[in-house]
Amino acid sequence: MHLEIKNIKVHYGKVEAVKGVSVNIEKGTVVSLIGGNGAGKSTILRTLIGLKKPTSGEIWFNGERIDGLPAPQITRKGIGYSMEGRRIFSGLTVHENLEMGAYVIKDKQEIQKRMDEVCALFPILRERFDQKGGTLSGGEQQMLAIARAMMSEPSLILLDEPSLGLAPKIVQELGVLIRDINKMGVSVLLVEQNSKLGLGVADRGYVLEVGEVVLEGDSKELMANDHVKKIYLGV
Amino acid sequence: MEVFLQTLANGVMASLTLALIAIGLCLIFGILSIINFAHGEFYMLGGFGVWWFLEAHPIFAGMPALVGYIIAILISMVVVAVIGMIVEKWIFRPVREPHETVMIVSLGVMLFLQAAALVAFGPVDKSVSSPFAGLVQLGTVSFSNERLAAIIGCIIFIAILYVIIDRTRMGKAMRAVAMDSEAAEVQGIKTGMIFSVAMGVSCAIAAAGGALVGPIYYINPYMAVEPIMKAFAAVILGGLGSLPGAVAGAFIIGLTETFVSTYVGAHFALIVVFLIMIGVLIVKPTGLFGHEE
Repeated sequence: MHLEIKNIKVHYGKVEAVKGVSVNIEKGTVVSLIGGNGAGKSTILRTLIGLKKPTSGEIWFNGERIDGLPAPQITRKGIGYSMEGRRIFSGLTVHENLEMGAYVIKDKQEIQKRMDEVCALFPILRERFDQKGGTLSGGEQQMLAIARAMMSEPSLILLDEPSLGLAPKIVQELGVLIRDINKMGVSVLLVEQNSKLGLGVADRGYVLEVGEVVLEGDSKELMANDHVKKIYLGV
Repeated sequence: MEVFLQTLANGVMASLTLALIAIGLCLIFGILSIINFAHGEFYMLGGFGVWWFLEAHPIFAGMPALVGYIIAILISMVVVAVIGMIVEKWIFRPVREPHETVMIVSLGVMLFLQAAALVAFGPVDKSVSSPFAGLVQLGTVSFSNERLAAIIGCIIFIAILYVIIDRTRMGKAMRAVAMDSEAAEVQGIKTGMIFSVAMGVSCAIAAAGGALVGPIYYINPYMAVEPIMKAFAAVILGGLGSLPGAVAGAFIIGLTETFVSTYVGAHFALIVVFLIMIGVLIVKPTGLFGHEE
């Protein structure tokens, strides 16, 4: 198993945001967490990457326990994180943003090689190379956020609401892109409110409601589930 | 004309020294989100540093004066940087949240460092004999070599700092932390280490300022009280968090003060400086180089 989240609970003050959630990711698969606002999806990602400490439970990555480690250390173990709301460095150029994404890599040639690979995936960024991140359009900023997370050559990438605020056409491109990233051998954990995209690209899915997993399984089966259809797909 | 050029040269020197303090204040504010009232004391300690090595314990006496002076400045910068990093790690960091707490703690550190300098070095003004004797004669204007050296020294330090922040991996990481520390952490940037580096660099250049003007002004435990006020004004004037703004603010304040002192009267200098600051903030509340969040 690439990633195992075992029964984690996470609190904000006294409020329990995640109430004992377990998620498994097989190597090389795409897994989606879907659910509405306040379901605890983003909190799970923040806990995974070390920005938030779980109150109980364990997180195992590549057979190593990582819960409680500080974020920079977890990043170094090979997890990339594209944050909710993009959170690119708006005052740095696209090039500098990508350099920061490769911060854990020391070798200059290796960084250059990585830069070329990532730019092949996101050709638009090459055109914007010397522009400040803040001058990009919303879609381009989202691409930059994902590209930055890919720079450290992660074996698992966490994508938090990448479709938020994007035009439908770009959301479609995003689906293709997530598949392309996955084809490079990277496992993907996708958090989406856009359940159609979330389940559409995923191999497996988890449906979260107020901090708990209410449904899990093969994403095709989930899409056929009546509850999912009614609440999340609006069919 | 003669008076004008003389005043201009003095104003440039005052502005550059102020810039060395203001840049550090601005870096610490941008990266650590701390309004550090104790920052001027690192400038003061830099002054005492050169005095210590050149006058109190002239261990470099055998060397050429210039070499001894440069070594004294560099050692003072390193020592002050270490003191600054200790203050940041063991005093500021444990009380970083909320910001009001650390601001008041920094006032305490300011008073402590002033008192410590008073105990260690005494209240009497110290002077350092300059390794740069003589005058440069430019037409009818004469300018002392020591002032020229201070100007060149300040420019060198500002240039080095600019290159570090603009070009190096560490400098980019510092800017990234200033923009979004959480996003920086998930790139693998250890923010604690960046805090230490930012504090160390800021304190070192403040110390350089004190060490460079040491031979020109007197050195005493309270020498930073007025400069830190002006440095705050420079940072606010330039736009909080903007380094070019801090330098521009330092020039506006340094030049205004020098010219008003010379042509109107020293009593009016600070009044005019702060009136300008208030005026700019009324017209553009974010400061000259600042922008809305």
